Amino acid sequence: MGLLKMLTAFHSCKNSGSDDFIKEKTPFLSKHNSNSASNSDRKWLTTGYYFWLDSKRHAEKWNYNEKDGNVIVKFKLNLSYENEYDIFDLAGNANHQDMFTEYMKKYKERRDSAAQKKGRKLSNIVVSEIIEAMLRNATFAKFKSIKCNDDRNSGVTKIPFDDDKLCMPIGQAFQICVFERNKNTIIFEDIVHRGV
Amino acid sequence: MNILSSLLKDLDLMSDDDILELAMRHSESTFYAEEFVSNFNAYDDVSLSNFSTNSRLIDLVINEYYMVVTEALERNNKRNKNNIHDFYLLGQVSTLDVRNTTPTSLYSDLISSKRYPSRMGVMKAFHTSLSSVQSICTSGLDSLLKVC
Repeated sequence: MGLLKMLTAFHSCKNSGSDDFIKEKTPFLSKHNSNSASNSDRKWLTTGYYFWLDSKRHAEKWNYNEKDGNVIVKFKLNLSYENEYDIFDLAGNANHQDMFTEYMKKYKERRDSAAQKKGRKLSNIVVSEIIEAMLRNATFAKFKSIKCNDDRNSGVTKIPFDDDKLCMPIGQAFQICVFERNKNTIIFEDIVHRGV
Repeated sequence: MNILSSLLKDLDLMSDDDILELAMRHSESTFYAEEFVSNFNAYDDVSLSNFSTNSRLIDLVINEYYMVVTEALERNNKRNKNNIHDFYLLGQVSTLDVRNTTPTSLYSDLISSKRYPSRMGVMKAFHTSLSSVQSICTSGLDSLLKVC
């Protein structure tokens, strides 16, 4: 695939090390360790390489600290919406959303039933738990990445379509997690920001 | 066979123990945990420096934290009325669940406030904020700094 057709993605990290070091080491793998007591060891979409898609706007706040700022690195992702197993798109593909919702519904039924039978009280279900369960399926595991967004309000502007109060949200953050085994789809392009 | 059918077939094959094990490895949403931890030192409104060294008693710390967080919220809301996100970030560092021990009077006025877009969000954030404070007291500042 030509570079122009690839996805544009931004990855941020702490501002330390030389440019060569950053070029060599990024993107950093975010490891999902759901056994860990530390929240920072659990990832939204399980283990993978995490990027903000299309715009570096959301990467600007990530891994940022007042003293050193951060580093934002631009990549091209050799993934296409046209290939069936390149992107499980929870932000833009209604079929994928339906599949996720239907699976989650059945999974939750099984989960609640299992908890009741064993007399266990479970915490609320989270996205990563569902994805981890789905990844146990060989067909689903063919997906190379997962894309999602979240419901944060920060940075989002809601513009009314009409006077019926329905609005179009603008400025949402789209994130993609490329699974570890698909690192070869990630192509370094440039360090686009460094510092405060 | 389409993907969903295949997924549901495999789900049927999972034992209750498999599902419970998977569920137990996950707790409440950690969506903002990483962001909060990575920004902890840089957060200009609330940081460890907001806590006086004498505030070792849990009730005092909770009160102090509550006031600082509320002030931070007020400032943030002046800048961006929809910015519940900043407050939500503050509450996501702890894994301790101490909801049954938190004094409800401390957050009742926050819950009743109509200024914030999501009461549930505020309540949840404040619950976990209190957990964070208890975590600071029980595990000590050193442990917290290590986590950060």
